[in-house]
Amino acid sequence: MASSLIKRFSHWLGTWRGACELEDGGEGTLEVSLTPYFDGQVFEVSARIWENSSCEIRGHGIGFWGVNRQGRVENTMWADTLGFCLLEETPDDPDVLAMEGVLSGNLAFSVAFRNEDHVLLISTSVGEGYAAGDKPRTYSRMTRLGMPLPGDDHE
Amino acid sequence: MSNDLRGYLPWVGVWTGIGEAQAGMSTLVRTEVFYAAAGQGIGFHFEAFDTEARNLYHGVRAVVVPAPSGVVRAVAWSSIHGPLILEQTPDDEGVLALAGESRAGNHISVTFVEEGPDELLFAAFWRPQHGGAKPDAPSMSIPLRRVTPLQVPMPGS
Repeated sequence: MASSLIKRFSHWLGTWRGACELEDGGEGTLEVSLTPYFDGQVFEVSARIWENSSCEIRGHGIGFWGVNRQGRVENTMWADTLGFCLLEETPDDPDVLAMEGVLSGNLAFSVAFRNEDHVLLISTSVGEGYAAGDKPRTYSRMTRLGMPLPGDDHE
Repeated sequence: MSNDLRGYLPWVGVWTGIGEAQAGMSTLVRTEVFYAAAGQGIGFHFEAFDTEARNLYHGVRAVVVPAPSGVVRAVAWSSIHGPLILEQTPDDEGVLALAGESRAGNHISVTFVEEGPDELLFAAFWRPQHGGAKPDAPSMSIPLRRVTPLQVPMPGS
């Protein structure tokens, strides 16, 4: 029987890539890969950002998505600039995976994914404590790298 | 890569072994150690099976990396314990010791000991956070050997 992660997110698996703006205003690329392990009980999610002109990696991270007993996604993650964090799914639209957690130093981190017409949207925010919601969010649009999955209806 | 992790690079590869889990149960373990996190970390893919490798008792996927503060931790997911963040605990050279608490409050300890160039000893146990040490606590002690490709003689050699 397919795991609940596979049921919800099988069409998200693979490698996604899109343009992003670097902190210094330069042009970068964001790549996110989702890979299932242990019969789909966990997804490994790795992300990296590099500067287009130099191919220098500017940031990367890795996380593991699992489903807790309440049926919500939990993401234990590490990012080179943020450190370690445990994120928990928060209520949102059915096609959105939104998660938030607490970083060291009273920083709140939130990330949201949405798969819309074969475009994976990712939005992140880091801010201090309860004021985190007032901080600007980053937005990136990514398309899948490689062959479409069975059932995809690319034109 | 962090100096704290550089010493584990020779462990990169695939390791297998059969050992004992709790209640004397024989367990087959396959572990892959790999270069991870764009060179900042070491990854572990751990699988424990019955000796016929038909049933997966325990699967763990983990990456050991330094925090911006320099503290080394493992970000991991376990098929028994769920999401984990384990902290490296001080130990001798050639030993990787990690410990922490699961979301359910269990204390988890994982240790890899380099016993020879191609030999590791894997040991792990977990117990309720306030349960104290118990002889029947779930545990595992498995000697691992590096998997090397079978050397097939070439024709004419």
